Amino acid sequence: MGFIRKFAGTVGGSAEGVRRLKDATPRFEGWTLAPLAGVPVVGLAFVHRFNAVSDTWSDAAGVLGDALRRDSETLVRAADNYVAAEKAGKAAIQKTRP
Amino acid sequence: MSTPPSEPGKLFVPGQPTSGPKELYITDSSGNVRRTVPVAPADAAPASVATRTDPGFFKNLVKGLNPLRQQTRSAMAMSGLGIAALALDVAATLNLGNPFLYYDRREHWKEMGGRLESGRSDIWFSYFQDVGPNWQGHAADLLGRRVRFNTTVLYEKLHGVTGEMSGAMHSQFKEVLEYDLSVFGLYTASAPILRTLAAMSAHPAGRVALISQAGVFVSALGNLVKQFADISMASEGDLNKVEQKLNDLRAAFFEQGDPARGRRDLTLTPDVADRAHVLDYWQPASKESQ
Repeated sequence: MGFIRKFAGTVGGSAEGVRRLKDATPRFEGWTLAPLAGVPVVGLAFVHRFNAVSDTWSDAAGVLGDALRRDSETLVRAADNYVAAEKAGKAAIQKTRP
Repeated sequence: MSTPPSEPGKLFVPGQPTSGPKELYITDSSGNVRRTVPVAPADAAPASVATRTDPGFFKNLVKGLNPLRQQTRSAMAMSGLGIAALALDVAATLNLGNPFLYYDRREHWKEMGGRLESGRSDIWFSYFQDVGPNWQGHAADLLGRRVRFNTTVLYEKLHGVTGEMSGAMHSQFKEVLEYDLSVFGLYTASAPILRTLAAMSAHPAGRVALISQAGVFVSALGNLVKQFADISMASEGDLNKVEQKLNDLRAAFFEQGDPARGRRDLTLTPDVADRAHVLDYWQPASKESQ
């Protein structure tokens, strides 16, 4: 099951990456909204729409990150169960042999 | 494929609260640890996207603009154009934007797109190198379908939005920078003339010259403001493209495309780890040939 574990590790690593991107999604807020510091006044009309894109994106990235993390956990569990089942199977075979 | 009795039990499971550096064990097909990869805990890891420092272009621009504004404003007050001209002056300068902000966002979204793509590739290649050739059976099929049609598609939807956002931020960056420079150019060109004329305005001829020059300046300023409004409306187009990509994204991630209705269940079925069937579901690929 080494390959499954390795794949689970990869999936988990990607999940971590997606979750970190989720937290780093840029929004327009704070100083960027102050006049003569960030967004021009005309641009303020668009800010909330760009923010809406950022928020939805961030949510979706969260969904993907969680899904990948759970996949990774499922695969690890599958590997554990497989090993346990195989061991039990071998033990049973050994018992039947004289 | 045999499994040794001493399976490495410790495995770094990302996303679980951990403290201190952890190790990720990479094993070969028989479960022996080939190498360990130290993995920094998530919170201590460097911020996912590099931070760029504002080169201060905009600050310097505003700093340079303010004395010029003073001169033109006092000249316009003397010319008698008064409030209308001052209102335009305020409108024009408030519409200055910090181009660095948009540049930063452009790069930020671009980097996010790059990271997404590398995450997707990691999963894709790991599946075809590690799982595909070594395993078959129901669970491996499920996993394969999931990688091909589910994970990849979700990554692509997210990636599409980052691309459009980066493009939209770039066009905003360009527009804002051009507008800033044309406002600055106009003030720089007009302020010395207006100052000179204001100094001569005690004489009736000087006063006429001042009024007409201030009129020229104000109409140029008015054009600029109108120009910026037009440009901003054009950026509506960018937003439109982004929002279309966003619809795809919503449809992929949320029930009926509506975040309020909840997330889709996008996880791998836990059945693949079912104790009762795990040996049927996962079959080593080498078993066939044995």
